[in-house]
Amino acid sequence: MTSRLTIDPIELMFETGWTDGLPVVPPTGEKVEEFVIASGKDASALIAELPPLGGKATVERIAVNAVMAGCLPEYMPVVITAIQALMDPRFNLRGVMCSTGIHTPLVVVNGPIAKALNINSGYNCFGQGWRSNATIGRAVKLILVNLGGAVPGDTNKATFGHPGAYTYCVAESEEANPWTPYHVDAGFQSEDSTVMVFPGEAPHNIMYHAVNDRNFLTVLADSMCPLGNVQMYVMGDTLVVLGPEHAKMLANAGWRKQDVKQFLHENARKSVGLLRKGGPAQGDDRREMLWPKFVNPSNNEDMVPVVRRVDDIHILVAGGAGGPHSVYIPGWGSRCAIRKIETP
Amino acid sequence: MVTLPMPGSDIEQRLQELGIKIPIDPEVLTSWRAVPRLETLTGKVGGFLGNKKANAEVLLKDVKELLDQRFELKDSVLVDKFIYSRPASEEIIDSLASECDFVVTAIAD
Repeated sequence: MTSRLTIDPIELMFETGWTDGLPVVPPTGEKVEEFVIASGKDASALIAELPPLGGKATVERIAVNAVMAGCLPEYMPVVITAIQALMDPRFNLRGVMCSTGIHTPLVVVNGPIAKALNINSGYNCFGQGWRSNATIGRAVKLILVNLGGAVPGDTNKATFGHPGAYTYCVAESEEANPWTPYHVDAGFQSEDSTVMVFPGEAPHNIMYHAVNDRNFLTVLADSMCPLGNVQMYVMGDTLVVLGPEHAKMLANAGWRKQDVKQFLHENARKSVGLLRKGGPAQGDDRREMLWPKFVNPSNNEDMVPVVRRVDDIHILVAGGAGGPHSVYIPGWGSRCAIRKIETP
Repeated sequence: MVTLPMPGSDIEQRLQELGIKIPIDPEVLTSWRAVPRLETLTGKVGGFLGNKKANAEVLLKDVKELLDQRFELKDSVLVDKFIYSRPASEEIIDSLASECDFVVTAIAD
């Protein structure tokens, strides 16, 4: 007898264990073929062997997961590029996906493709409401579980996880950015489209309603260096997303992006003495090797920055106009990675 | 663990009927298995790989002592990787593989 659950294709997909807990689009052969064609690549082309289990992410298997996520075929180049970027060894995908920590890859899209695919960079850009953000991010996460084998509670030991583990994709608002776009700073042309991946906690909101640029940066810096932020102990890359209002306020006051990074690096600091109370450093003197050379780990008064170098602070501009908010997204101790999107 | 439906199962049949493609790599299901177990640890060389978390070191030292007492290990190698957010280096992995009969690791958050 056929069970009730297997009559409906969507319920059938739940029974296979291949979903993220939300309904998926059943990946029929016809749909998958459409996605493969849109990628401009051979179905059997190998894009990555994904950790932790080394599943082979071919174009066809990526397409299957992208269909399940609810993507449109034209999203395929972004999804494929995100998977390629995640394989950068400096990102340490195995660690990010298996750690007890809360981090999960964030996908950031820059360049003309963001507009073409209507990837939200404005109001509620980390929230719901845009198919491209929701399904590109979701496809990446389905791929990491179904092909990488990062199954929660099995190989993925995240103590909590966060909602970005379902989907975590945003575009930079290049119109609201008073400086050069992120991907141009990274060495790409403005007409290039790129995907940057970052091992991120959930966004932490920084509210600042006044119009004093230096005070705002002081508030932001203070929010970046709590004793519970793993980066204070393991360094790596860290991410600030300035809201349009804050970015405009800073630019109008004459701050360049590099000045902002410099200020944050000099002010997002905690003393060695306080960090000795933090979990990771406690009882382990060898942790000091991760701090910058200018920190004397024997001097409790010395100040430790949130990351080793000024350029380990990454700055994007996104979010809705009119709100005096920015977000800080702590990293995991590894690096972000950026890659150009090749469209067919 | 990602899985495939049992061959001949109702789920497999329905997937086929609907023409649904599989989102996993089936080879992963068979490519990972435990190496054959040692018959005994007595007189073996044990490796103990820490991840630089303070509690991992405590746990691994205790485990090493217990194994030493119970099995009289021939030798043991204690080594830490650089930091828990980076993989162990190839040198560490190669050295453990060449020197040790078994390796114990721990995260000990």
